[in-house]
Amino acid sequence: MTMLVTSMPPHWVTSPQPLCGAGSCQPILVTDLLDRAAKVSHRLHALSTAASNDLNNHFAPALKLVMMRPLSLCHTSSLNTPEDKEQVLQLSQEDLLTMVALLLKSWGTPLLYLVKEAQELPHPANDALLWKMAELSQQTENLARGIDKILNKLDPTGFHSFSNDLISPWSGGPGLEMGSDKKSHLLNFHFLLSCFRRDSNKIDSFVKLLRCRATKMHPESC
Amino acid sequence: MKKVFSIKLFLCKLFILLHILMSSGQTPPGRPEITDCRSPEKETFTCWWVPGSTGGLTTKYSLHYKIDGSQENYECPDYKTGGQNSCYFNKSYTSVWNTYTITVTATNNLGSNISEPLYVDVAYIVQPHQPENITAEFTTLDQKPYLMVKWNPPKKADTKSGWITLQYELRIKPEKALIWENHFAGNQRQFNIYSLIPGEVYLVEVRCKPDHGYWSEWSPTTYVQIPHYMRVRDTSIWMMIGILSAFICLLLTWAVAVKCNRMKKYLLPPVPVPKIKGFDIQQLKNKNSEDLILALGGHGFFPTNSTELLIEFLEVDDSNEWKIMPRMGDYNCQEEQRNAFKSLNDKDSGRGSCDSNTLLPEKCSENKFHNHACDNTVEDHSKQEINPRAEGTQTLSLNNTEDVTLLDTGTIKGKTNTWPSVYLAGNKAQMSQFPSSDNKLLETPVKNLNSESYHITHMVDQTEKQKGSGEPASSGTADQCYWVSTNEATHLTSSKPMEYVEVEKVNQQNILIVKPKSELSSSIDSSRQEYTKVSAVVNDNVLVLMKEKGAHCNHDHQELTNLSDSHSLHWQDGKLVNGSSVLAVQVSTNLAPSGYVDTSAFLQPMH
Repeated sequence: MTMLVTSMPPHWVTSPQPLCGAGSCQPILVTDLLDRAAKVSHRLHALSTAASNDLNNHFAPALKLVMMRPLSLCHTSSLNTPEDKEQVLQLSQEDLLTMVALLLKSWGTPLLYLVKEAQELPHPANDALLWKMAELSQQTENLARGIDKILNKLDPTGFHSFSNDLISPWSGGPGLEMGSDKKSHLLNFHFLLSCFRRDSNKIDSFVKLLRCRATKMHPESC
Repeated sequence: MKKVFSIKLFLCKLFILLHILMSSGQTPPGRPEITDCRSPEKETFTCWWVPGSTGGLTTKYSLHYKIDGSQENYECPDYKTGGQNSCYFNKSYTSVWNTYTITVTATNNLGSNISEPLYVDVAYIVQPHQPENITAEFTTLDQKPYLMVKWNPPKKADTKSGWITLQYELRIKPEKALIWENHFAGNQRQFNIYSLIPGEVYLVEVRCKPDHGYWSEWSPTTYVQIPHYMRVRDTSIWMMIGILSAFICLLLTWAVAVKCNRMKKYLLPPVPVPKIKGFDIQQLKNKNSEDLILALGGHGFFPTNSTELLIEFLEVDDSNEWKIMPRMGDYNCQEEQRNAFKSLNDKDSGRGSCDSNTLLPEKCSENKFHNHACDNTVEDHSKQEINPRAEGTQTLSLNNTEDVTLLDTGTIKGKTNTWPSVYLAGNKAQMSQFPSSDNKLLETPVKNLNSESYHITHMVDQTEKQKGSGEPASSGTADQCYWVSTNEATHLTSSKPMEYVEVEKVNQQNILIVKPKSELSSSIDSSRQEYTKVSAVVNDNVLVLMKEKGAHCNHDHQELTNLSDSHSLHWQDGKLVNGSSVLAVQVSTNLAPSGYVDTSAFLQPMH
């Protein structure tokens, strides 16, 4: 199991009021913000990997085969995210940030669903899954707010702002239907979690790349 | 019939064919298995498989893959780069965050076999190469030596752009150690190691790992030699040793200085000097007379019959001036002297000559027992003495605090002698009249003698002390007679003043009752001759000697009392003119040169 980051991720202050004295406030550098963002994204991916391992370890091998639904069916695949290094490096800082923001926002609702599902999931490790899902939901929201702040700092004019239409919609899981069996619940849970695991890896890579880019003065930190 | 025959033929052929096949061992290939796929930099990746059984025929392997979402089956673009039974996907064929479904097919003439599919996402299979260019340098910073280890990330991993972020781990051990010491270095590219053993050769290795991937292999070992340097620990240890030894030396010096004398005695034991054997000061303090007598080699308790009294005498050195220890009341004096004797209380003869009960005054210029204070107090208590201190006088004073009487010979002519007090075990019948614990008559044989010696016995009287400055001869109920022995065998006028008076007992008022020799002749040695019984002492300087045989002390005492009261005695030259059988002796005038009462001078004329 992947080791989880033990440090607590920071929480951005929602209030716009700065906490320092009048006129003598030092604005937080973008590099510091990106550093904090990188820590949160790292934790997101680590948690989701651990949850996937919890889920997979208790399944029979035969079932694993059936469960491998193609992840191209993830609801976030409509977002055209880059697929290799060259494509990523071509993107600008703001574009990358926008993409990250869109991804994070797309996962708000599904994560809440996962939290709800984990409570009654017919799985021996559903307690561990429950608190992981709750943590994932909270930290995704947290990171989304932070990325917004960074975007505001980098692009105050809002030139690169995106509309909420771009956010991938999520149709919902089978849990809402009556009479859905245990197996479909499990399969659906597994699929959603796998989608999120991949997306969290993307987000983590992008943010860390942005962090390295921002610290041009200190190439050693990359 | 034909059908059956053809069927049979077919079966036979089949059987033969199978038999041929079986005998040669050729089968379709076994199922291959894909072991793993790895990407060193998240841009390319390689997959390896393990073949199953070959089936005896040449088997060909092919790898096919599908990318997530499309059903197209692609074959491996490169079978060689990765080695045997491998497939290498270069950059153009690699896309991240897509699921690859990879299968391997083994084919031979007889058939083929497909492996289990493996689902691969490049982002999850990153395992970088080893770190490169590892350097270990020994440096000192502020006199603190340490080893600075530096390294570079593997070349292929693109950390500059931030595509991959690596974390490093370092391990180090001395050359001959068995266990590595691991250190996690985080994202940094150097690490400092402290607490090194000087003169040792160390082995250093580094490895790295991407954020969410696998650890690389350990780098090739780097050897580094630590020069010989002085560790702070060594320096501080030497300092501590130095301080500790200095402290111990000081302690020893102080101890030696304080206990100088004792150490001298221990290291250089004094010359043994003969001492009185069996003489135990402590025992003297005991109130058990029988034990004491036995310890001293006595013959047990004295016989009831006074005529059988056996007394051993203490020979002491004489001087013209000798003074008996002051009486009680002079507590300090007694205390000191007693303490002095206490220190001599051991039966070994390992004491210095100064310390032993020697009577040789020359050895001790500084006499421990000589107490100037005592001298002074003696004069203060002159009342209590029989005879005040004067030349040629003999004074006997009875004092006692704990049944110990210390005699102190004052020095006038520079001669000082001391001898321990002597208990006289008294006559049993006589003792019964007194508290038994108080009255003891004892004698201690003295080995150390000089030419001038005399025997003196005296008795310690506890009650005397309690009375304070008791009056010499005024009152008293019980009678106790001193024996003062005189040696009549030696002529009175002879040069040898071996004369003594045996005192049988003394009463509370210091009345020495001297018995004549004739009474004792039956039980006493011929060497012991004249005994004169002193019945009373009057006026501090007169010994009233009793001449008559068998006179009772009580009776005598009464007479003496009457005598003193009536003053009917006439004194002339030591003679008491009286009709009674009591002889009074004025001690002062008739003192022999040895200082003893010469009663024979008085006896003869009276006869």
